[in-house]
Amino acid sequence: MMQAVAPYVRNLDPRLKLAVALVLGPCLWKISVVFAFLCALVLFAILKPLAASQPVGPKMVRSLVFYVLLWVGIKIVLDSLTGVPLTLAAMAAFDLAVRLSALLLLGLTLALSTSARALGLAVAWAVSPLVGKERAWRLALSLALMIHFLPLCLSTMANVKEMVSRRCPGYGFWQRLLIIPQAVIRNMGQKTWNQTLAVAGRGLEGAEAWEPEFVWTGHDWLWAIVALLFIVLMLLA
Amino acid sequence: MIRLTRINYAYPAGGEVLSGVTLALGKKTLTGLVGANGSGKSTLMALMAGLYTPTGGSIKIDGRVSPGSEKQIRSMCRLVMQDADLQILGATVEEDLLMGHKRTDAATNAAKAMADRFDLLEMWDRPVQMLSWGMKRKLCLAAALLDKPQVLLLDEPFSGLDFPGMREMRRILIENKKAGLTQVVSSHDLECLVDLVDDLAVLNKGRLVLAGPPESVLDHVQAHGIRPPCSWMAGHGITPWDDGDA
Repeated sequence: MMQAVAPYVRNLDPRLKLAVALVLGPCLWKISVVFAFLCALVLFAILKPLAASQPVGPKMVRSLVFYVLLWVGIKIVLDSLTGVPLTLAAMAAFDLAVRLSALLLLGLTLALSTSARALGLAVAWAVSPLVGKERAWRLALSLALMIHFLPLCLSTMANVKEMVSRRCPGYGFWQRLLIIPQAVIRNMGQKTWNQTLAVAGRGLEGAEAWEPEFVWTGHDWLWAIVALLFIVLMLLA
Repeated sequence: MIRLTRINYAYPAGGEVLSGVTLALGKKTLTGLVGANGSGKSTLMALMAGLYTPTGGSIKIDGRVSPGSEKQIRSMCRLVMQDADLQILGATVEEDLLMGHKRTDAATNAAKAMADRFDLLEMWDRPVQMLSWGMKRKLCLAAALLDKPQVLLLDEPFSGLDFPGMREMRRILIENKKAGLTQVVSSHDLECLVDLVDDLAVLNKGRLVLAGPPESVLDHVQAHGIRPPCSWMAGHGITPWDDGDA
């Protein structure tokens, strides 16, 4: 059952997933914390099978947990320093943890269920009437490359860090802080140039290669209505 | 098919990479472009693919001339670069192969047939991150061939491949040759390539120093930083690299 969730979510129209993320994201800060918690649970249930089928999925979820804990910790410390009673500070930190987790789970669900190209095309489709077809495909390409570059950046960063620790085991925090960003930027600079050549070499530098071919099905209608109803209900409750 | 006339090229940052390269490549031939590291092979491949514009001289590919017709040249040629990760833009094998194509039944069937030819059909729905290095290289090659180019340019296709991967790459080159595709393959190592090529072009520090059938140039390649194949050095001429080749 759970294994069937991942392909089902992936097959939904990217425009639906993007629209839900764009509407639900800001709403997560407006709805009650109980509903935000409910959203986080539902999103986690969807994300789990999606993450399982991706090599970097579990790592991304772990990074998310660390990120939430970091901000929760910072909030508790800052609230305590400004004289907020500990009980209230803890409640506010819990509130933040729930909303932030839900928001990050929403972003991760979108990223793991929709390819960079599909997201780029969905955005281009949405803005095409405003900016015109010629600019829309450039936007789609830019966005697809930007999303495509994120895992490349992460892997370059990991490789550079590993290399520095092997080649310069005696270096301290500040020395690493100087070397690692420089090396990553140098590496990425070369990669962006080659990436540009690769895009042109594959004939993807034209509007015809970025024409959206979305198919809006009955399932998309169903989930669009369900999502809309839930968001309205949560806002009104 | 391809005619390079006194090609010069310098990157905007300065320093001439290619100077006075004149070369003619026949239709349906397989040409080996060899040279030591930094000799200008990749730059020449990018020029032939229409990705760069020569700073001097001209490139004529099937009637299209650069400078001027780079876009048309790009539509005729496909360059497969060394770094597969940068060329794969789709999230799955399916999405990457169908990139730039209308998602019709015919296009999907053609992509599936290509995936099958490259033993990638089983990976059709898999995330591309799960592919091995060799599979990623094959995916790039499959995507390039799916565009039905008139000229296929392969930049160091054997680098980083294990023995089975090299055998498979050779099989693909042989099949392309039988299908009448014009191919240019760059390499710094002649060993696994020399028995397949019709002609060799040798670059040294941005200059074309040797060109012609392998038999006519192999005695002179060592002076330009290229090691002749073992069989040639042992006096056996050019022998098949692998007995399993069709």
